[in-house]
Amino acid sequence: MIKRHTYLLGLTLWCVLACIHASAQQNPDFVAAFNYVNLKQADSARARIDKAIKDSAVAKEAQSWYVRGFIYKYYYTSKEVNNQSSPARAEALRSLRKALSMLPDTSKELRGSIHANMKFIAAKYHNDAAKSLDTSNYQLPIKNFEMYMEIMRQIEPNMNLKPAEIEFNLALSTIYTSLYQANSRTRSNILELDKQALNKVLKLDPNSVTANYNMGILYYNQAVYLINNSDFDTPLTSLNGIQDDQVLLFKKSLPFTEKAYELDPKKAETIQALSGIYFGLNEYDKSKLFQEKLDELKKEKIEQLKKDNQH
Amino acid sequence: MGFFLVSAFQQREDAAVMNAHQKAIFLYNFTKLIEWPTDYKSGNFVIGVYGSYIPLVNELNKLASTKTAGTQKFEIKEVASIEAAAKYHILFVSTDKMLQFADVTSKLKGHGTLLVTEKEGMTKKGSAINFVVVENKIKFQLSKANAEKQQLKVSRDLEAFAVKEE
Repeated sequence: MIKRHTYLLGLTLWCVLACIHASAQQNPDFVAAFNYVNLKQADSARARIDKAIKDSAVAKEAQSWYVRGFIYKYYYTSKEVNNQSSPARAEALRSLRKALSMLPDTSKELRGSIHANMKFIAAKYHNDAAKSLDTSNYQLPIKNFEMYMEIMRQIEPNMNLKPAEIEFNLALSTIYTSLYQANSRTRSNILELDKQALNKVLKLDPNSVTANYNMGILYYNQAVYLINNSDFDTPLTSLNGIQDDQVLLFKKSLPFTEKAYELDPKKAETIQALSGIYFGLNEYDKSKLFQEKLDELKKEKIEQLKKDNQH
Repeated sequence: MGFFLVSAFQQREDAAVMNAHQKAIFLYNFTKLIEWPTDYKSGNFVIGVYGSYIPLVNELNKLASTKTAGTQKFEIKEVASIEAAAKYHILFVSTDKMLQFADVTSKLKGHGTLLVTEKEGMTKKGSAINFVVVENKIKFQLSKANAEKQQLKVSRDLEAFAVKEE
């Protein structure tokens, strides 16, 4: 496997070298950088390509920047692959982009190679975002995911990135919700971020059951917290104001939860949420109606399980 | 390519607990805005819950563990049947015990007990405070006359917060 990788690396570099302008090839640092890649000496390869690129004859060629991008990518995979904010990866991308901007429209072959390298880097940004997104770390994953999106939009403008964006924002919303639930009093900004993430999903896919449900629950929980976080000492005057805010939040929750129900009427969580919202709005008959629907659904599921077991 | 782990559906808080917490806040306010007869001013401050209303009992127990009614400690009782000799400062009668309400009023007649209900029209049947829903919000109706029959003095502030009966 390693042998094959080395062979491919050599072959790629040879192909690049073949189309490099003669002036670049005459630069000893440029040639040395190639040799160091073949010798798998990433530090030296990087040092020599940086020295070479200072030569104006080398720097004026798109190919030189491509090679620099390639070497930095090689350095990243050798030395910084576990660094989620790897400077080498960022530098590789910068060089590849510069190469792309300098390339005439006719250079299809090199354009393809640049795109392939950028795609590799994009995938790494995506993977890093996916790997590290959790409650203790969400800012860097956001940045990395944005990098992924930015690169993919540039190199594959016709690619449908909606599913990835939806998936990421739903995951992000889950993280924000956990953070908010862990400390709701000091994290009201988190709630706004949560809403922003869900709004992004709803803009991309207004029929997302999960996003509609989660947005509904977000407002619902906010309403419940208002009361549950009120001290027993809350005077009647304040309680009145709290109830006003609470009703407003339950009413904001309703259209999202109703939409989720409309899209998937057999989802128990949604039916339960609707029963809860109406209970919160003190509309007990409607709450009971959804509770009955939920009981019916549970019965249906049990019947189905019995049938499945008989078969 | 990595994948994001999405916990698809968020957890929902319990609206019944919230509703009970709200009522416990009301009840605690009542203890400050109503004056009980002298012989009810010592010993524990007893709040009884007649009927099945577990979330309210739980909330009142939380209240009892953190607050007092003046100098009196709260004592929360789940009441299965009403005894004439029983002494409650507040008796919350839940909706499932409405058929027994006449029995409650006759057995506790003249006691220093604040009778609290949550069904339309109950102040006409002897309840002093009746929770009602107005524009999706919990409010309360107050029958000063019924309170006075139980030897209770209602403050003007409490009167001001009560909603008028239709």
